[in-house]
Amino acid sequence: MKIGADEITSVLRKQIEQYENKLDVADVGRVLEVGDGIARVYGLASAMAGELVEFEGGVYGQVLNLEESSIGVAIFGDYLTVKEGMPVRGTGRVLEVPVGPALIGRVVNPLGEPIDGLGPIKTDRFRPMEMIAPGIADRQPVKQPLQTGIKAIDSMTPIGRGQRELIIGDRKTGKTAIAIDTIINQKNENVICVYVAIGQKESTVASVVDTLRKNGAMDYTIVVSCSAADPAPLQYIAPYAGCAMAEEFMYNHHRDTLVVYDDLTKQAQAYRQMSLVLRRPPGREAYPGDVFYLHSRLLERAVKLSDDLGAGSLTALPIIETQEGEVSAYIPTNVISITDGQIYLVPDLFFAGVRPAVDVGISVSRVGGNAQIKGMRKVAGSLRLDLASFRALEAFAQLGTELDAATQKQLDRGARMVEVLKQPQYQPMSVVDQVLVLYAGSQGHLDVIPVNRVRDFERVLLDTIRNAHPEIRNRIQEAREIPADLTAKLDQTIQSIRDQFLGGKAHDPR
Amino acid sequence: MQYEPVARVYAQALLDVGREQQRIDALGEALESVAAAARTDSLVKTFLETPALDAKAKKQALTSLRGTLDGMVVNFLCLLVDKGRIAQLDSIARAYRDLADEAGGRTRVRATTARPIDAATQQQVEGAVRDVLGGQVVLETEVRADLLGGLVLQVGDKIYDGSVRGRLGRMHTAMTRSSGL
Repeated sequence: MKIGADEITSVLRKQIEQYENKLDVADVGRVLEVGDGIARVYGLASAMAGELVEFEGGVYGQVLNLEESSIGVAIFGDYLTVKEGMPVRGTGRVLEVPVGPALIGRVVNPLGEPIDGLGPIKTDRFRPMEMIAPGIADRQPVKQPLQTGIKAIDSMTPIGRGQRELIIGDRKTGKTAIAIDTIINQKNENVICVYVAIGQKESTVASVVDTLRKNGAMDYTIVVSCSAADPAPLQYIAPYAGCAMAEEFMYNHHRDTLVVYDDLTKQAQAYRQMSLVLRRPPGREAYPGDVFYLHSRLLERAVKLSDDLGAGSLTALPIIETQEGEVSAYIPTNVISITDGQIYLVPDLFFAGVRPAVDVGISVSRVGGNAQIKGMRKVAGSLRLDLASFRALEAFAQLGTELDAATQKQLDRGARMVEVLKQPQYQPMSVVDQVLVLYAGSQGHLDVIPVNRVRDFERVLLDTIRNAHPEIRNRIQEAREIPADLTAKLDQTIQSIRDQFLGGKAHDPR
Repeated sequence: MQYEPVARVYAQALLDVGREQQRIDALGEALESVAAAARTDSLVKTFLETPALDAKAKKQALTSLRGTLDGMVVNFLCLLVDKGRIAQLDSIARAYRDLADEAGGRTRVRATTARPIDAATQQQVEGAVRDVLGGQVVLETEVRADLLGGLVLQVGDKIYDGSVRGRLGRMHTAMTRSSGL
């Protein structure tokens, strides 16, 4: 007997009719399973990749996987309220965050909701979290400095507005301190700052906010916080949310902005967790295949906009934590290759008391040189090479061999420059002061001062010049360098301050 | 034809039953008719595949086919529902057909032509293929106007392209190659 398909269909149809409302798969999906911030949803055939979907009860999610018979959704919010069988509806929108001046001074989560207990944020502006980075025609070269206020960085690895400079190092080497100092130093620089904390302890974030507030930096700073206790999808979107908040100021207010991503290692780990739960195939170190794109699309959004677009800028300071100084791990190499240079922090220097513990040998800034002011470029020109040769000689000198006068002189100079580059936390220094100190060091004015008194002298020198010789600072400030006719007077001034400091007689370093 | 390995396992099981009961072809036809129903009617397909309904509801609906359909096949479908493999029904039906062909010593040949061919021509093609391959030949026909004319035969993994379009294409390749381009 031959049975036609129509016959089967008609029999089955009669049986199915009662379930018809459950079989509408175009507009409504149903949760199949939930786990670790990820839901698998059946149906929702019209869903698009990246679309925002709403679960019953007001929890939102983002479509990440489109599969043959189900979709994978990352849940933003309390995923414990999402239950099996719950209906899911598409919204036709993409993820957005509230933006605008109302956010300044606030601490928000990656969805832009306030978590500082200071009441609601009044803004009607929203921006999509994910934005395509501006193209070549919309950009201009980086040529304006972003002063970090840290001597070791502004002199040797200068950062320009619109640059992406990686801060990389082991745990407890002062990565966050550099970022915080930089934010504090933007006080009079007219830069809007966004600090994105990803996967950190709430207590750490609280103390950072406290520090920023004490130093008056919250007047121009937004803190986006996503602690280690928050679900992985929130940690994954936090940097994009922070970036969108800065972009609003850059595009629509034509401002210079600075975004610190602290740190992208944790974000990559959150993304790895999501990807594995979504059953995407694991690759190296179990990261998914698109983990490079995760960071490249974020850091490409750092830009110095063309004059036609208002010349705003977005400087990115991503932070990466290494394990035992292993920079050749997957995520560090990825981010090193994306950024325009890196500031490398090493524990050895940190514990030897050289703070910030910047390893000048392997720290570079690929575009920032053009952004340095002329005066700084002059005094810092040979600094990197001097320090490198000092490190080489220092190792050699430890063998206890007799040294000739020239070598000894080089060693003395190097030891003093290392002292000069030390700087306490939360005390960023103006670029004029930096130029003055580095000038004194590079011209040999410090060679007769005992190494352990160099930092005292630095303080005395700057105080005296600020109070007794304001005209010197003013001239350097105006000219953005040390004018040729000023050098003689400056040398004389430094010498007299030094003689006074040493009690009238020159000290023999040997 | 491509299908998941699991489809072959289920198809083989049903085939073994068919062989025992000497009803290989009858079971195949019944299975194919359900697969065709799911292919042509999206509601039936959704009903069978949706995880929103539990196995009980699906089995209840399938049991209503008992009068129309072979009881063994209905049981088989219920088993697929229980094992969560009902979504693979289409590949299982295809795997069954291939395995049944193999068991029956049949060769399936797909003839594609630009225009529909009449029964006499079909006989002629079938005869010609049988002369070459031997055994039983089952001819499936398909019409594709863009072949312009001629005949394309697919036997297993091999394609014999005797279409006008194919010959023109080969001529084009030969000409452009010899001209040194």
